[in-house]
Amino acid sequence: MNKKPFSSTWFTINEDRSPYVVLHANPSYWDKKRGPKLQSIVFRNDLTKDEALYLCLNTEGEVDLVTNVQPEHARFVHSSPYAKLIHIGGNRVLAGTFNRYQDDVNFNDRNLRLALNLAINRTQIVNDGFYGYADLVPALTPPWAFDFPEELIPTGQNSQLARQLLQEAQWPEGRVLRIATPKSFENVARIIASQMTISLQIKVEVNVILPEEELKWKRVLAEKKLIPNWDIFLANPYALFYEGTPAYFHREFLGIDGAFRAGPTLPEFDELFEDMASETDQQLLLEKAKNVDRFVFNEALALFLCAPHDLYAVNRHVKFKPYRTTFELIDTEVTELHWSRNSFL
Amino acid sequence: MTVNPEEGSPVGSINVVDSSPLNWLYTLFHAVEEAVGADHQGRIIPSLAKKVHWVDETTLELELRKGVRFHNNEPFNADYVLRAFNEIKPWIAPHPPGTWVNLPDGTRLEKEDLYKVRYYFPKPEGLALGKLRAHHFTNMLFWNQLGFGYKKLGTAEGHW
Repeated sequence: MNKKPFSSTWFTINEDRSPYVVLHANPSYWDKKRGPKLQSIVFRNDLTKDEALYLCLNTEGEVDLVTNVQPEHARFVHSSPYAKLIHIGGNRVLAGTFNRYQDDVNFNDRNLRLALNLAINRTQIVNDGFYGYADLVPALTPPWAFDFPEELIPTGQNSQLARQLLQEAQWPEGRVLRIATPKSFENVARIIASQMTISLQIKVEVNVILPEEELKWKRVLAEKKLIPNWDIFLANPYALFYEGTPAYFHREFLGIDGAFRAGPTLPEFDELFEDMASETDQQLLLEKAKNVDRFVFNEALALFLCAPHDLYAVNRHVKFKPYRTTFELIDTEVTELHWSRNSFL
Repeated sequence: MTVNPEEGSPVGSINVVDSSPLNWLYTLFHAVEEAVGADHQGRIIPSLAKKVHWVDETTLELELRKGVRFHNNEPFNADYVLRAFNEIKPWIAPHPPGTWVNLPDGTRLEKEDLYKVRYYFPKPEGLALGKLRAHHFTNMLFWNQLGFGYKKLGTAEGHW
């Protein structure tokens, strides 16, 4: 149990937002090359996601940019005469944390963790779960990170070996594997469950956590005072940078103060992480960050899945270039045909 | 009619709907800056510090950008970095991502001159640059009137 309070993420589930937040350009901003290129930006919080997407795809002047477009809605954006789809590998990785606190099955056994990683077909997860809008990730560092170990290859499905390893890990006869997932990844969890059922010939259950219960579940996991009743929990932490990536992803899943660590601390991991975290030479830090990811991959310390893309619906007259680790509009501009520059609209 | 804007001046307006749970952070990044920022690919780039370098394993020097003014015309300099550093001190867990973003206990900040500061860490702190993305430099007006959660909630815990 971590006795240091507050060392984990504050979970934002619900927010009290103003209906509108208006940002005005600072005309004396120091970095003129970069921006700001727009006079003002209005964050509209008075619309649901569906309303926003409808207005962006079917009107001019109401909504110019919608973030977090669901992959299943991408085709609607493609067919809109008013908007275009922009997508990029973003600031999150999706993986399953193993409950190494369980006492009837041993997730501290690498064989069991590897068996589950071999039981799934990641390409199918990306294609069916994300409509192709995600990238395969060998472990937890995405391929576009500056500290990605290039030699790592995503684990392929091998049902026969998975079953053999499951047996070696002494998975109890009839024991149901329980996957817990936030509602947003229900579809992905069901694909994983279906694949594991077939590959491992065991029963797999999916427990969908409703948005209003998500905070409670995440707190249980972060505080580590109660043993959760699931075996695998799907989580998607975020990164502010892709230099020193393990500070954001690996630490959260496995570190001493990791909000998603579900099991005893891992001294070997902690040693590698600390070696990276105390390195002040940036090039060496990147190399040491690769070592962290290599270790996590070799030990199969999580159920490795993918890195979902960020999808944006953007008005056709808006020039928007997305950032991987943030959402910034300082260099976004509009053409002369945009409604805000045309008094006829 | 369409008016041609003066070359390089901001023009136009957009309406954005961002349902991300990180919208609070993204809005903040549009209004406030830090020593470092992120480029499109997620690389750490200089922002209000035009140059950062390690003097030794535990000493990080920031050479601050000159000629920067806040929207209310206050000139940015080392005093603003010191103010932010001192404002964050009383809080246990100021940052929503968690206390791992805190600079280690025992960290000191010293002003070398009006545009140079040095952080003295108790141990080698390789993640300092990444952590500095969560240490925001605002004008004095902000601290005196609003603060991160001060006015609304009476606490900055979880609101930096």
